[in-house]
Order: sequence, then structure tokens, then C-alpha cells
Amino acid sequence: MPFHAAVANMAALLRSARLLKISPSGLLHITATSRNGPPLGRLYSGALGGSRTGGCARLSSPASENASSSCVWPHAVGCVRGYALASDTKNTVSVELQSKQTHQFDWALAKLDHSVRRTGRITKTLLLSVFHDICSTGYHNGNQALLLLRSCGSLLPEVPLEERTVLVHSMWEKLQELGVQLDVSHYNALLKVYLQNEFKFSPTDFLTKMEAAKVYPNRVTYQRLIEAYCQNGDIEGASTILGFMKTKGLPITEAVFNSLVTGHGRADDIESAKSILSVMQGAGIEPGPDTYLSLLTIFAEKGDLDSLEKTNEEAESADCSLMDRDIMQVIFTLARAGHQQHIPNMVERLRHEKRFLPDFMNLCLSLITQGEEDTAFDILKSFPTLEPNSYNTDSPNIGNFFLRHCVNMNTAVAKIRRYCKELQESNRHRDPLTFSLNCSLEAKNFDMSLELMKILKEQGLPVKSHYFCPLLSQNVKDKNSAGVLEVVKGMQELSVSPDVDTFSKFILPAFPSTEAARQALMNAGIPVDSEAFLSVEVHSLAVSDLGKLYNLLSDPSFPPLEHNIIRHSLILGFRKSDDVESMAKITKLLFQDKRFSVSGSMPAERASYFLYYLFDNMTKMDVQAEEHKLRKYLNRLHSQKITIPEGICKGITNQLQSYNVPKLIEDVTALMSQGYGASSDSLSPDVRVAGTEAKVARLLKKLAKLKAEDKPIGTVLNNIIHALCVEENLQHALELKQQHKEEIIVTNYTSLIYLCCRQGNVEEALNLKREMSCKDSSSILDSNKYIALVRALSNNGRVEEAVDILKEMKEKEVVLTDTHTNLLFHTLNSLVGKGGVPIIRRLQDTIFALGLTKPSANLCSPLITAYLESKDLSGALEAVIDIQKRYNHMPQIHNILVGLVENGETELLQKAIGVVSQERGEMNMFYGLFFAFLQTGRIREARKIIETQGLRARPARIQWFAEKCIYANQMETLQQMVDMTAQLFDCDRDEMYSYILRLCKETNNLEKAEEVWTKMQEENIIPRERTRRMLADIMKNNGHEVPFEVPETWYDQAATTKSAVTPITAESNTEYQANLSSLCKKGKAKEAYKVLKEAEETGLTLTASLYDLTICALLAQGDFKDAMAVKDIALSRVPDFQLTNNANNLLIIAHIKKGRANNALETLKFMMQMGHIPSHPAIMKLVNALGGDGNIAGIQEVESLMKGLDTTLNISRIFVNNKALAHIKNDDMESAVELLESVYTSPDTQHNSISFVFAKVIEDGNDKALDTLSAMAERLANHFACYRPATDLFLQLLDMDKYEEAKFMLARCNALAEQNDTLRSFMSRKAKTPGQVGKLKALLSLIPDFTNKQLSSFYLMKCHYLDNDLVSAKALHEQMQKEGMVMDNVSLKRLAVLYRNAGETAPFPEPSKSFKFYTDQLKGTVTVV
Amino acid sequence: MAASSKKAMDLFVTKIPWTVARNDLVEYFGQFGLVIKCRLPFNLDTGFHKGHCWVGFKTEKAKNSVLEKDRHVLDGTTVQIQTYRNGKGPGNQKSNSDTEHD
Repeated sequence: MPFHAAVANMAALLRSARLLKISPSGLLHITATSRNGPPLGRLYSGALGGSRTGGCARLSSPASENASSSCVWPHAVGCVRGYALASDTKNTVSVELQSKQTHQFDWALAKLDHSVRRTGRITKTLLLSVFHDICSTGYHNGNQALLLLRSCGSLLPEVPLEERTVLVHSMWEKLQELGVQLDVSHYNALLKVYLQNEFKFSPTDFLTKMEAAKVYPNRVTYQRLIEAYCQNGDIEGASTILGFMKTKGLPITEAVFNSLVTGHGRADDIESAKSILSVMQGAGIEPGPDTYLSLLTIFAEKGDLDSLEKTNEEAESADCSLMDRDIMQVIFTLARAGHQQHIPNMVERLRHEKRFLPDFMNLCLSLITQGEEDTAFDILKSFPTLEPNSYNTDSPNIGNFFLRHCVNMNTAVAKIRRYCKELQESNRHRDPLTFSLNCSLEAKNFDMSLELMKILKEQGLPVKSHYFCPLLSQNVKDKNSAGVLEVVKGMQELSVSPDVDTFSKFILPAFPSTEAARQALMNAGIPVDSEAFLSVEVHSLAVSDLGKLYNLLSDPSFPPLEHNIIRHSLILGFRKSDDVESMAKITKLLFQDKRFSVSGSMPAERASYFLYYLFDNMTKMDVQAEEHKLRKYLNRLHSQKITIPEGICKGITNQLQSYNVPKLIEDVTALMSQGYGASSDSLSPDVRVAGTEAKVARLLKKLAKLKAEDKPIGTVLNNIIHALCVEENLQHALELKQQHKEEIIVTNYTSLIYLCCRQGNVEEALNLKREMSCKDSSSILDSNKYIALVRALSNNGRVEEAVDILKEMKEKEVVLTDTHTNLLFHTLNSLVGKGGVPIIRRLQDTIFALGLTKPSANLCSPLITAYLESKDLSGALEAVIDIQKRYNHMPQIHNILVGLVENGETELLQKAIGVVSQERGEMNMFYGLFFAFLQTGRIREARKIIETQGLRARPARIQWFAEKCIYANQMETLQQMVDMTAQLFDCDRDEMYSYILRLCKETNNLEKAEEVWTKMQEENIIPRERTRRMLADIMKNNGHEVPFEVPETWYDQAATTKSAVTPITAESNTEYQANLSSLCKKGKAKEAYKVLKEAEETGLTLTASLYDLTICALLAQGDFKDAMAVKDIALSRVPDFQLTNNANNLLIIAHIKKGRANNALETLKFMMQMGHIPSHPAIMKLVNALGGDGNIAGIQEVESLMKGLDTTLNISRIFVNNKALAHIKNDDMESAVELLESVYTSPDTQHNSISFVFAKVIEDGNDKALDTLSAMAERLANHFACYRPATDLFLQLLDMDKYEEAKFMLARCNALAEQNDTLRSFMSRKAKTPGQVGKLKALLSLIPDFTNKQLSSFYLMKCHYLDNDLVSAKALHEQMQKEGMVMDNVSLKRLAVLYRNAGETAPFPEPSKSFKFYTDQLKGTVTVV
Repeated sequence: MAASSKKAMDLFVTKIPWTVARNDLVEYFGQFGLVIKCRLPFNLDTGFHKGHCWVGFKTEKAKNSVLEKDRHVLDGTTVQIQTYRNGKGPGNQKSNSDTEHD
């Protein structure tokens, strides 16, 4: 049954799993697969009614809130002070534990969910990795188990049926082993998987097994067992169960009848099968589409085309017309039964609806898995979206999934070749063969890859050396030299010679030595004189034995080889070796032997460069350390009469100049062909300093001075123009430009053009642009500036010129990112108010026609807005229909509908809903209409719509409207929607009420919130924790007592109810386990330990995971001793007991808390050996502890351990900072400075903050270290233009209220005032916590102009708001008014709230909309400018 | 100092299709100026390269002319190019709106 409702089933499965954790009303969805199921209570009576599942149910959202608020956040954001905080908090560990647990579940769920939503299938790899993760983390529950089991059926179309069943069995066993309680839902899921996998099993045995496990079958179980009998044509067996169901009074549903149809059919009794339909009708059940599908399947199996057609007609006349998904099922059956000749007939019936695309793909995959790839290919060719998509700029690659699966199933290459040919010829795929090769290489399929490469070669496509690396990699890993040789022979067959990388990484390592490789290759008849092989050979000798290398190179039989190719190897070898003799001999060879230089050039000159590179490769430290060796080497060269040209010699001495190695320099100079005294000619420091003076006036002075001295003024001029542009002083900037036309560079033009555009001076902008292209015809503006130009032009009514600019953008291939698309939107939107329908249309059409960016609903919406603004509803509707036709978007349809409803335009409304219904489906049309009625206050009409039969909740649409209401502060409308949807099928009531609460919270509306609370009780809704919190917050804000308990953690509740059910004195093993686990989760580690010891005394063996859980709980409370005791017990009971990932992480943290960083390090090493991955907090705490201990070696060890991990966390900063701290701790300032300097002068690394180091040093009162570090920071700033450390120190001083020191620092290093980004981010960070206003003010008084007034007042207001300081806020407001500045709405609203809190009335109207609305608005204005 | 000014001519190229070899990169970027370094790391387990590489030019000019071109297409795929400069790495250019309003 692979396709039958696969997607629907899975979506429902995932939805149900998600809803499960929410509220009992969500449980309804577990059974949503059957069309007319009975009330649910009966189905899930036992297991799910219990509170345990309720506990799991609440697993998700609340804890993740915790995670974001108290645990993960400080680390993730990298707020240094967070580290110290985190380790102080007693509770941290358990919070971590809990959030991780939740995180794991969500993560697994989200991954599978995403896969299913997108594709309707899951890959085996993904499923296995989720399975593995769930097992190894040690946290698992019934929900996860259900999820895993249900995924082993038709959701794995790429896996053969038998394999899937094996998989589900292995999971089942493992889950049992882990102690997961398997209830009836799990057994039912297993049955479903059996059915989907056509697994033959004995239903009686199955029932016996269930009975033995004390799980009682329910209606679903019986139904599926009947289906199992029927699949085998065993009507008798099915009847037995049917009889049983009847005696139990269970309802017989359509699904049962459908099974019976199949059963009779399989038993070759077509007549009886047909007669079931009338039996159904007799029982009062109308045959549904599934019934007809069962019939069709029977005829398909028999290959009876006539009956197929007839049944189809019957179905249609019974108003049960079949969907594509059903037809696909029939096609699949036909293919498997060997009736391919009838398939085209069925394919014709497909309507190719878009929503079934994933099903189409899954049909193809299943067919390929079943060896019916030809049929699959025919289906593929009938795919609907095959018309080349004009908006998709990527090259076509339709059929990737098909080819990949063919390759994975090892389909014959001849067939793949044919598929590729057809795909390419029909323009569906740009390069299908290469793609197939990619797949085959990924699968490491040697034979297929080789054949595919032969075809590639035949067709004149390149076959490159590195194509073979995937085939070699495994052999190399296994040191399988024979395997490697085989691949190399394959390469030779295709006349591909291995390149350097292939040799060095994928061939030679398989052999014990280069010599052995050379011999083996020669024996196999593979030439070894290729450049690549030689250079690799040279490399391996260079780093091992220079003497042997000389012998090889000087051997007359050695072929010519340009020394550039081996230069790097030689340098490496020279630096490693002390064999000066050989070094000199090899160098001489390079100087004299023509074989090692490009023909026609002088060997001596080329070889001199070798010396240059040798020194170039070394740092100051290297040179100083090896000075002795180098001098010996140079002297040896000198004695061999080797000379180097003057230029190169000068180059080398220049490098050495600052290294303080005068003797060495003398030796180099001695090699120079003519005598030449080294003289230094260092860069004038002025050039560097120039950039640091920001004030225009000072720059101007500088400019004058430079001009007077007749020195180049380019840099200074550039800076002035830039500064003027920032100041928006266009006039002055233009004057300067006029004066210095010659020196002006392209970037100046672009800044000026941008400024002109912003100020609406179009004429000047165009002039400048013309001037710029005269100056440099290749110059182009960047996207921002182009768009600014378009905006300025179109706003000045110069549309055609704007269009020309757009065309130019296309010509110059300007790339547009999302930000730019957003800018385009704002550009179009800015034209709305100017009645700009034709202008907007012209621009919009041009943008899309040129393909500058993909059409989106957003970009299309200004046009509609323009129509709406001009009250032209019919125009707006026409435009939307046009946009839908051309770009498949329906922008602003809601607003149009609202407009039509408001104006009573019945006819147009009819037309609009017709279009929506046709293009977006009936359901969307209903929602559209519903929202329009709601919005316009036509409550009766809205109610009628939402009560339409068959309408179900669309969470996304509802959320959209709810957010809209919250955004615009429309409480009444929102309330109406929530009330009206009470009876809506599948509506998440908790979610609905939470929207109202959110708005209550925004507006601080206590009254409404309390009303909601009562209503929820009335409706019998169990609120999610998030909802309760919100409610509690509102009450607390208003000084009310919270009348209910706000659970701190999700498991608290579960555990309490649980222990009430199971008394401590429980006897049976399972109850012990449940009790123990609830105690652990509740954080009652001591009690858990007691219970565990009790169990131990009675001789009970618990599951490994339970021991682990107890250890975690004990460790979380820092009880190291007892935790180890439990570990010993566990080891004695479960011989191969190992701590899980979590326990190990906790162990590390526990060690650190006890001050035993070394033990923690051992644990880390151990867990890495076991393949566990340490958690981020564990590593951070460990490294911080090691840094505090001054343990450099330890940190390095951790760092090297981490290198092996493919971690996405950016933790290099921690290592650097802590190594520096460790050095400081060891009183080795020199190393600390060296380390930090090397990091900050290396361009490869991002310059991370080192505030942490400064903070620690200042905290410790280590003045000496602080002085040294401060000197270093200033040096980096002054000499290397690297300001981050100095800025960090400066801000750290401010942060620690050392105002005077900060002031001095600024005076010494005034470039700090220009680190606007860092300063601004300090400001925004500080403004997040209360009580920081002093620091902000200090910063602003020191550096008043790093940001504009508007922004600084924004943050100051935020601080006052957080401090609840109305007096200061008022003062700020007055100050701004005095200065004639306008306060932004967010700040104004904050001020209003302060007034309200103080019980005063604000002297201005409070901005009515939400904070979010104004924040967005503010952001909007920032992006627009 | 010598070292840092040299590294400033490095580019970091990502999204390189698997078919492209190191030599192809050297050849392609060679049209903008002399390439003195090109490192294309391989994943030793899979045998495929990692899809990114570092290209070092002899001159700043060459680097800039690469950056001036808007799109670089290798084997039909557009590759992404990033630069490395003191403190202005690609990760450092956070948009201002993030820090200004939160």
C-alpha cells in the first residue's frame, strides 16, 4: 500500500505527535486517518488517559523557553560575563539537562517533520540517525518511539520492503531494551507498518504477543488484523475477527469493508468483492473513494482494463471521483503485476495537481525500488512542472532524485545512459550524466562509476583525476594497496593521469613508502614519470631525507621538472631538516641544472627566487630560532660561488630588516652579484595616521598641508568626501570634488551619487554617474546605489530613465540579494501615494521581465496598494488576476476582499472568490472570505462561512490573521475570531486563546486576560504552560496574585501526579522504574538514590538508562560521591554499562565545580574516545577552569580534541582567551601578548572580543598584566590598525565604572572613537538590562558622536524604561523637544508606559499600535534610507 | 606586517561544484592576475573536495578585479566569493538595523 494516503498519514502522524504534547483535544488527530472513526475516548482509553503521557505531552515548548532565557542564551550570544554567572547559579545544570532533553526531542521531530512535509518521505539515513541520537542521549519516551515505528513503512519508498520490516523489528527490540513502555498505539503502528510492507505474519501470534505484554487490542488493532488477513485473501480469518468485533460491539467502519473487497479479490472471488458494495449500503455506509480504489486495485492486479474503466465511471457517477494519488496507486499495482501495457491509459487520467508532486516522486522511487524503473521513467516524463521555469535562474535539473535512486539501486548503466540522454535532449536536465556519476561516486560504486566515466569521455566531456578520489578513499583508509592499484588502472584505461592531490592524498598513503608505491605502480605498468607523481615523490623525500632527495634529483635519468612545482616541498623540507650539506647541494642543482627551470630562462635567476620564498615563508620567530642554521647554509652557498641578483637580494634583506638579525643580513648581502649596502626605506607613518582623524576640519587642514608639500592627497581626499557624505553635506562634497577632479576615485563618485539620490537631487546624481563612467568605463555602482537611483528617478517622475537604469543593472549583471529586493519593494511602495499605478506597473514589469529578481507577492503588492489607494477596486482585482496568471502570486488579496465587502461590490466579490477558489482551492477561498468579513465587522456572514461543512482549521492562516490583529491592536476582531472558531474542526484552542493573551500582555489589559482565563475553563481547555505563564505575567504586572500554580518545569507536574499514583513501596519492577524516573526528573536525586538502593537490596536489575538517569540527577546536584556509587552498582548489574553523553557532560561539570579540572579533562578524553560529543557548556566550563589554573597544555589538548569534531559552535575565542589567561596566571606575560598579537594580526581569523580576558585581569586586580595588555592593545591599534582589543578594553573599563582610566585610554588612542559598530553594539547590549544607564551616559559623554542623536536617545529611553525611571525619561523627552528632535514611536510608547505605571497621564496621546509594529516601522525606515 | 598585507590578497571561494578541480580554479582565477596560492581541501572520507577553497593573488589589483565581477560561474554553477581583511571578515558585517533596534 505504498502510496495510499502516505503523505496524509504521515502529516497526521507528525501533527498528532506534536499536538499530543499540547492538549487532549489534539489527540483527536491520531485517528484522523480513518474517514469516519468513532469518538476517540474509546481508542485511547487506557494508556493516553493516564497522566504519564500528559507529562510527555508537555515536553516541548516550556522548556525551550527556559533554554532561551536562562541557559543557552548567554553562551550563544557570547556575552562574556555570562560565563561567570552561569557557573554560580546552582540550578544551571539541571536546567541544561532539561533543555537539552527537550531540545533533542524537538530536533528529531522537526527533522523528520520537515522531511515529510517537504517530500512525503524520509531517507533511511535520516531515520537511522534520529534513532541513534534518541538512543544515545538516553532520553526517550513513548511519543518518540511511536514516531520511529511509524516511519518504517511507506515513508521509506527508497528502501525495499523486506529491509523496512527488518528495520522496524530492530527498532522495536532496541526500544524494548531501553525500557520504553510500548502501549497499544505502538502495536497498532507496528501493524500498519507490516501492512505497508506486505509483511507476512500470523495475526494470532501477534495477538498472543500483545496479550503476553498485557496490552489490550482496540478497534484499530482488529481493523488492521482484518486487513492483514485480507491482504492474503484469507476471508475466513478476516471473518473470525469480524465476528469478534461484532460480539464486542465495536463499530464496523468503511475501512473494514474496503479490506473485505480486497480480501475477496485476492481470493479470486470478484463477484463477492463487488457485492460488498451493496452490503455496505445495506449497513448504511456509502462506498467511498477508498472502496472504489480497493476494487480498482483488484482489477489492476488482474490486468482487466475493461473493468478498470467501468469501475472508474461508476466511481465518478457515485461522486467519488479519484484523485491523482489514487490513480498512482492503481499504476503502481499495474506495474507490479506486470500489466505495463495498461499504464499509459491510467497516466492519461492523471490531472497532475501540484499538491501531489511529492507523491509522484515517491511513486517513481517505489517503482525503481521494485525494479520497475522504465515505468518510473515514463511517469517522470509526464511530470507537470517540466515546462522550463522562466523565473528559475539555475540550470534545469529535473530528475535528480530519479537518477540518484537508479544509481543507488544499481540499475544497468545502459538504462541510465538512455534516461540521461532523454532528460538532456528534452532540456530537463543540464548535465544528467555527470550528476549520475556524482551519485555513483557517492555510493562508491566502482564499476558503475567507471562505465559512466567511459560514457562521459565518449561524449567528449571531461573526466578529471579527482573524480576517482571517492573510489580511492575507502581503499586508502583500509590501506588496501591492491584496491588502489585497481582504481589507478581504471584511470589509465580512461587515460587520466592522477594529479598531485590524488597521488598525495588518495594513492600514496595506501603504501608503506613512496619507494614501495613507485615499485608497485611500475609493476602494474603505470608510468611514474608524470609531473604529479614526481612532485609528490619529491615532497615525501623532502620532508623525510634530503640526502636521498639530492640523489634522486641529481640522477641523470630524472626527468625535467620546473622547480616552482616542488618549491613548496623543498622549503618545507629545508625548514625541517638540519642537513645543511644537502640543502646547499640541492640549491646548487637548482641554480645550475637546466632541468629545473622553464626552458629558455636563466636557471640562476629563477633559482634566486627560491631563496626569496624560503625567507618569505618564515616568520620573525622562525628566522631568529634558525639563524644559526640559515647562516651556515648561506655561507655554504657563498663558498659554492652562488650569487643572486640585486633586486631579489634586496627583497630578502627587506624582509629580514625588522627581525634583528644583522649577521644574517650580512650573509645574504654577501651573495649579491654586485656590492650593495642595505638601506631601509620604511613607509611614512603619515599615510596610516591619516585615516584615523575623523573630523572634517582636521582632514581639510591635512589636505592643505599635503597640497602645499606637493604630496599625494588621494587618501585624505577620499576620507573627507566620505565624512562629508556621512554628514550629508552635499554642497561641500561637490565643491571639493570640483576642485580635485583628478584625484577623485570611483568610490567617491558612488558615495556622492548615493547622497544625491537620498537628497532627491537626480540631476546631479546623473551628472556624477556620467562623469564616473568617463573616468573609468568599467566602473559600476553597487546594487544599493542603483536602486537608490531608480527610486530617486521614479519619484521625480522620470520613469523611462529609471527603466534604463534597471536595464543597465541587468547588463552589468548586478546581483540582488534579499535586502536589495526589499529595497526594490520600498522603492515601488514609495510611489503608491503619488497615484503611481502606471509608474509602478512599468517598473514592476521591467524588473520581472529583465529577471533582476524573482517575482514575489511582496514585490507585486505596491501595485495593488496603489489601486486600492485610488479606490479602484476593479482595477486592483484585474491586476491581481493578471499577477496570478503571470507570476503565480496573489498579493493583497485580503485587502481587496475587504474593500469589496465594504463597498458591497457583490459582482466583483463573486469574481474574486471564484479566482481565489480556482487558483488556491476552496479552503483558502473560505478563509479569505472569513477574514474579510471579520475585518469589516460583518459578523453574521463571517460566522456562516466558518461554519461551512467540512471546513477545518488552517493554523497558518489563522495565525496570520491573529498576528495581524495583534499588530494593529484590534482586540474586538481577534476576540470574534476566537469565539467563532470554537466549533471549528482541528482548531487548537489553547493557541487561539494565547493570541488574545498576547494582545492583553501588549496592552496590559488585565480585565480581558481574566475573562480569557474563565472562558478557557468553560471550554475545558488545558492550557499549555506558555499560556499560563503569559497569564501569570499579566497578573503579576498588575500586582495581582496568581490564582494558580505556574509550573517551573514541565516534569514537575507529571512527577507529582505520578508519585501519587504509585506509592514508594511499589513492588514490581516497572513501577520501581517509573517511580525512580519521576523522582529523577523532579530533581529529587537523594530520594531517587534511596529508591535505587532499595531496589539494589531486593536484587532488582534496572534498565541501564535508569541508572544513567539517577547518575545524571545526582551529578546535577553536585553529589559526586553518590553518583559514582550508582555507577558502581550499575556496572555490577549491567556489565557493559556506560555513561551516556549527558551523564559524561554532567560529570565534567561536577569535576570542575569540585576544582578538579584534570579529572574533567580525563573524562572528556574518555568520552571522545567513546564517540560521544561533549556539550558546549561542558567544554566552556572546562576550558575556563583550565585557563584559571594556568594549564596551557590542558587547553591545547582540549583544542586539539575539538578539532576532530565538526562542531558548528564558534569556540576558537574561548581557547584563545583562556590560553592568554593561563599565560597570565603563570606570570608569563610575554607568551600571552605574543598569542594575542598573533591572533589579531592574522587576517584569517575573525576578530573576536577579548573583553573576557580584560574583565578577569581587572577583577583579579592584576595591574601589571593590565598594563601590559593595555600596551599591547594600543600597539595593535596604532601599528596594525587593529582596534578590536583596544576597544574591548576601553568598553570593559567603562563597564567596570573606571571612567577616568577609560578617558585616558581614549586620549591615548583616539581612533577608538571611530569603532562605531563595536560601540553601538555595546550600547545596544547594555540597554538590555536595567541599571546600566550610567555606563551609556559615560560612553556618550566621552564619545558624543559615534552615533546620531536619534539612536542614542532611543537607547537612553530604553534604559529609563527598564529602570522604570519616569523622571529621567521626562527630562530626556524635554531635552529632545528643546533640540527640535522628534521622538520615535517606540520611545514615545515607552515613555507613555512609564507615565501609566506611575499613575500619571501622559501629556501626549500614546501611540496606539503594538511595540512590535513600531519597532518594525523603525527598522523599515532604517532599511529604506 | 609583511605577512598580513600578503594575506589580504586572499579570497575564500565557496559553493564550488564537485566537478571543478584545483587546476580549473587556478586557470579560472588566473585570468584576473597571478595566482600564488590555491588550496582546495578534500574530505578524506568521502573523497570529494569540500566545495570551498582559498585563492591567493600576488596583487591586490587582481583580487579586486575578481571582486568587481558580479558573478563567477564554474561548470554552470555560480560560486560565492568572500574576502578577508583586518576585522572586516564576512561575518563581521552585521547589518546596522540589528544593533540599532531590538
